[in-house]
Amino acid sequence: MKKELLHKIQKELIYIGISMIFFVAVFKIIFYNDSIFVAARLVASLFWAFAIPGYFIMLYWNERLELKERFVIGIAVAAAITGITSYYLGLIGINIKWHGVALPLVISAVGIWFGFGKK
Amino acid sequence: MEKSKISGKISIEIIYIAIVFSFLLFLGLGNLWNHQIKHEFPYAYFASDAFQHQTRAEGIKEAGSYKNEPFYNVFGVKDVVGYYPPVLYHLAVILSHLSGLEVYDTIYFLPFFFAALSAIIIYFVIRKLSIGSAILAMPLAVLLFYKGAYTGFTWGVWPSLISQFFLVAFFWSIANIDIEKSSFLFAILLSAVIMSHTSEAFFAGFMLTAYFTFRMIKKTATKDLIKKILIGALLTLIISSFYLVIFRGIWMERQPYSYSVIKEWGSPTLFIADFKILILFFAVGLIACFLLIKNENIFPIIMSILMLLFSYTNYVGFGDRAFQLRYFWGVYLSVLFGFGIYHLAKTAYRKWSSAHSIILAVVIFIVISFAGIEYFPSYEKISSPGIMNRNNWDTLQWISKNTEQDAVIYFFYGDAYNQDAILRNSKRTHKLIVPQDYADAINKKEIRRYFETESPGDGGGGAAIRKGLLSFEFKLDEMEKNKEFEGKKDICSFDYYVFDKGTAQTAFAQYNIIMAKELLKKDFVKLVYGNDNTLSIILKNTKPGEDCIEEGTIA
Repeated sequence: MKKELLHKIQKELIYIGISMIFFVAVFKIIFYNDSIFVAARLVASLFWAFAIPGYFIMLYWNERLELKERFVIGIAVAAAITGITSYYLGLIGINIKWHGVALPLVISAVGIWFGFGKK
Repeated sequence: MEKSKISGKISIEIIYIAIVFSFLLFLGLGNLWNHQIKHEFPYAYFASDAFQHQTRAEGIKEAGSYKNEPFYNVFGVKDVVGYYPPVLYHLAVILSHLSGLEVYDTIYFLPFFFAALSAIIIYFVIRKLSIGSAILAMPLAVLLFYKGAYTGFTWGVWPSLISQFFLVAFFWSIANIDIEKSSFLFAILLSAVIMSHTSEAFFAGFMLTAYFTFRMIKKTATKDLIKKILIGALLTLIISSFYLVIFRGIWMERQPYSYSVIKEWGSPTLFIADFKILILFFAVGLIACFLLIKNENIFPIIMSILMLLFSYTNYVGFGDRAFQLRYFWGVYLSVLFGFGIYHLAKTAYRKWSSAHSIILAVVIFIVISFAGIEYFPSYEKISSPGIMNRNNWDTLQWISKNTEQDAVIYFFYGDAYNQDAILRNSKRTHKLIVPQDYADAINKKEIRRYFETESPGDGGGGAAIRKGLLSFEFKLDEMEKNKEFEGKKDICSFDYYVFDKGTAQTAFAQYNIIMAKELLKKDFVKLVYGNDNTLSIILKNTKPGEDCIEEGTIA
């Protein structure tokens, strides 16, 4: 069961990687007056902050929902968790400059934990 | 119901979704931003509210948290509790740190990014009912960038737009409430609605009630469903409780709900008639929904109809909150539109397939986006740098980096300054001359020391200082009592003066130069920024309070 999930994750992360490359190209087309590096960094940031943690947090529902739906809803869920948690972390004194690095890691870890912990 | 002929070929569906998302971003933001991500100053900002949110986010980035409002946003009062719903600001600052972009770009990017994503989320909501309808619904999202709806973006109604994005995601969670552990998704998305722009949560609550009632009528409201809703509601309360205390103690105190029927709004908005011929498809969608009344997955249609009704609750006391929902009509009404056009197509051609739906959707996209046909609503391209310009930005940046933190800056007339939140980019306490009084001085050819003066700032939260866990003191009341915001002020009492040398009405520019020259006659007033080549100059008054200008008439 866990092996199957691991295999699924590997496969799906490849799709997500491909979609990231696709969106770098799309952003370069939309924002053609900027360099590809600016577009690539923005897309990478969006994937790091929302898409990847969203994917892992939605892993729990991988049997019920298809990847495309989990991927899109995951972005909304990750944005919600990030925005709210960042607010509270700031209030307890953890500077927001660290949140962009730490929160996606923590959210992804929690998502993996729940995903694999599902009975 | 139509059987999916594209479910096996996921690539076609995914490509369609990805192209629609990209296309919406291209139309909405690409054109508006001159196809650039990175700008040298806040670009395409068209109203004060946009600067309000931008400067608040800048303040959070500098402070590292949203414990307090930046003092320059609240009349120079320090330690004012951060009272605005915080989610947008935090997301913008995080994205700024990660992407290397300025906050003024990321905070503007997010509403477009999430609005485009809303169209995809609603696709998945409709998809459970009919793939063909879902495909055909998507072109209506182009009308997010149409007339009054577009001004929601360009005028800076961003917190509401972000909240409505989470509201759409919350609707998805309702549509999927029967999946295991859905309470978590329900709670986190509803909390994000509350903590992005709280008023949308009322509509979320109404929607949930309507959905539950529907399930009761259908006799499918199981114990498990009730349990999920209760757990979701409880989790939401826990997650958002800290902010809700602020909302209760500040917003509900300062701007309590009062019943008022308004038919028109101060900001541009949409009316159903603006959809022109497309109303016919909404009507067909509405009629067709009765055919599906027994269908379990009818929630998307209930949602669409209710959101349309909620958008008209300005007639029953919800005021501008109702109008704000109309910014997202391109998403909410897409259900009725897609459903209507799909049923017409299906009636006309029995063998209608998903591939046909995609082809027709592409045609509709083209018509709504580019054709400009009179009877069809269509995308309206906006392409302008907006209110800010390089000169104003450089001037404001200079102030923020080179003046003392407690300095008070006095702005003489500038064309952009009527959208006064732009001045918060000075990151200092600031005052602004009242143009009418300035014009009066020009007409009478007088050099004056005392002018009618505004104290711009965000008064919505009353400049609240926290006095206890549940109690707040409103500094604004004290300031109003002391008449700090009224009447003529002595310009000699301020630390810096900003003069624009280029204004649309040359009389203002000429008088600005005269006033600057008069002030410079005193040896304690010095030119600290600008020269003959710059469009603005800044003078420093090294002896605030002393007689800084000779009153008289212009020869």
